[in-house]
Amino acid sequence: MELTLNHYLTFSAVLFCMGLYGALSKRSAIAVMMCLELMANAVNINLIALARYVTPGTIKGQFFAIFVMVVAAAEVGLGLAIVLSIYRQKSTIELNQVNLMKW
Amino acid sequence: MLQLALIPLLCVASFIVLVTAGRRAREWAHYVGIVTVLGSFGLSVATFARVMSGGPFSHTFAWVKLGSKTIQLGLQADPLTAVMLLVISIVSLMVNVYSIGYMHGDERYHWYYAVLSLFTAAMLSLVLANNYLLMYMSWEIMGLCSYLLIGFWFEKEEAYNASKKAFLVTRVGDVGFGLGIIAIFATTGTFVFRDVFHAAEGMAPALITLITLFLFCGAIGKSAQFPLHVWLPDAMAGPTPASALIHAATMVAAGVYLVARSFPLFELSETSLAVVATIGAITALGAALIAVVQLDIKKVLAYSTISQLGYMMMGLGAGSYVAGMWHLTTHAFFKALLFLGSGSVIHAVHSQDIRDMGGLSKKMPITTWTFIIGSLALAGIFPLSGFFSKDEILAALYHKHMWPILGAAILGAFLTAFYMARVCFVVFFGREKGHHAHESPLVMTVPLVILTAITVGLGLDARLGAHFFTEFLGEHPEPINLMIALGSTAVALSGIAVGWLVYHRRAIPLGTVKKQRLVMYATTVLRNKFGLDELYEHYVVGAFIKFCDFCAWFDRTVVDGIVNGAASVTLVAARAAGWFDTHIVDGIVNGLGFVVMGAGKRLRYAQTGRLQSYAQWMYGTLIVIILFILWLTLRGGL
Repeated sequence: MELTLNHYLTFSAVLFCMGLYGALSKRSAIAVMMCLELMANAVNINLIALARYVTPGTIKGQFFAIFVMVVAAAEVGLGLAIVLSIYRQKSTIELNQVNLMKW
Repeated sequence: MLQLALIPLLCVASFIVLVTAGRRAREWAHYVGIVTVLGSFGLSVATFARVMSGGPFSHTFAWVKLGSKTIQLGLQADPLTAVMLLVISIVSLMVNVYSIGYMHGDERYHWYYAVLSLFTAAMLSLVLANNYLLMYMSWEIMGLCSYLLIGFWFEKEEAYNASKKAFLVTRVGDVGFGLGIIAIFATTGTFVFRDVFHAAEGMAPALITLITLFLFCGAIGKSAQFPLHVWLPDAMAGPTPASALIHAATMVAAGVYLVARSFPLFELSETSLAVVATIGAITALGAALIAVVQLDIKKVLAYSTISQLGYMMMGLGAGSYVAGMWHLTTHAFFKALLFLGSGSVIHAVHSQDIRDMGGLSKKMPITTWTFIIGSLALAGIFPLSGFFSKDEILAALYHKHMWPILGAAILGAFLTAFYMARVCFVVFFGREKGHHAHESPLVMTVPLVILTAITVGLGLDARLGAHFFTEFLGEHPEPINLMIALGSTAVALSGIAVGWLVYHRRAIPLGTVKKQRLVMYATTVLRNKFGLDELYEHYVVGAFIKFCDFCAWFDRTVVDGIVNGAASVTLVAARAAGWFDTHIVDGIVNGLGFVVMGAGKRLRYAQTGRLQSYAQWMYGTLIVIILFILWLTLRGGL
């Protein structure tokens, strides 16, 4: 079986949906962040696959993927800092118990 | 120009110095007053000499340009002015000197001299003016000074009321004068005498009559002629020397001067001359009658002044400008003398009532004899100046065949002699009333002597047949009419004789005479001054007060009503606006707020604060958008 672009896109879609489901349903902030990483990586797979199949010979997609990784890393750093800070205040990281952004 | 301008300006300078110095001038105010008047006197003499040798001269300058008309002011010196300058400066000088003694130690000594200076300045500029405008200005300044001096002792209610009365009554005449001047300017376009007289020759007689009668209104007010004479007797509440200067010699003569100055106009109107003569006759006779029953020495003199001013008017009305002016000149000196003499008496006995005086001839010889000479001059006894000037007036009336007026004048002459004899006999002879009177100081007696000398001298001059004044004032002297002269002397002598019989010899018992019904009635009428004061009080002042009441009522009901009505309307409008504001405008604003708040209250439940619900919304919406785009794509629209 030869791998085609559709395989990659399907895989990335499944991965994205898993991430999305986790991000929307997990109660632990850490788990949510992990799911966000899944979603970001699904996007990365998409980018590289499209780069490979749609515009071979260029590295624009790869380039973007590296950007996304950097941003995701920074985001995780920031997110973990916020989580730590919330933990210190509330002694919990359960998202349904944190409603600081309420009106 | 400078020479003429300096005559009044010296006195203005004195006024300014004294007013600036204020109370500091109390020690030396009289020096300033006397020195400046002396300067004016010197310049007046120089002017007189220049006019005599070189004829009249004048200076005119354009004062202000109004539209197409230029208003010219200026000064002039002609025989009339020159004579008046001498009269004013001499009498003012005498009064200034005399006042040192009379006003000694007064609280407002400096103010007295200041006003006296201002008055002298105004009177001098009045006679120097060569136009009606400057004349009117001076005229009004004199009115002010008269008001200030009558009310000089304003602590006394009498003085303060008299000053108001004098100011208001003369103002009535001044309105007429003002209208006359306006009429002159409207018809001729100039104020300058010469041009006015020139223009008048071609004017309609009715217009000239109107203008001259207006001018005569001013003269009636200022010269205290009937029916506006009521202020002058009350004006005696002022200091006696001021009365001598203002209310006997100079200011009250300004009306006569005005008529004399405007004589070229009056001559053109027979009617006006007749009015002048008639008013003069009524005044002369009426005032002389009232003078007979007055008990206040100054009031006798005041009524006598009114009467004599009436004589001057009669002279002018008879068409004899010289007769009027000459009587003015002689009267100025002997009446100033009489007033200063009465002042000397008042100074000695501290009363103005002749019943408090008596037998003063031994104690005050100088005052007595100067006063008697003045009285004789006033009565018109040969050879004193009064005789000649009065004779001139009678002769003028005789020549014009004005019989009723001549009759009034002769009767007036009799009464004049009678009331002066009464005053003299009662005050200087009669029984002594046991007061410690003594002769006044030299500063007071010397002016009396000088004025006596002038009174006698003016007569001598005429007696020598020189008729200096007559010639100088521009008419040819007429030989003395022997019949008139003898007749008037006889009348005057009989007046004195009756006075002597009644008040000195007491040959006619006064007590029984006074009990006669007719005499009682006459006395009552005269004591009440023919009821004129009451008439004015009731009809003029009363009507005026009624009018004021009406105005007040109108003000309160109609004007206030309108104002209050406007206020009420405004209030109602404001209430409506307020209601609109609170209910409609605020309602809209509050309603908007309410809606926004209500919406917010309901919408805020969407803000759960749960991160994941937000994300669910976000992705849900994303999915909806994607589906929408897909649907569009499938439909083939995009």
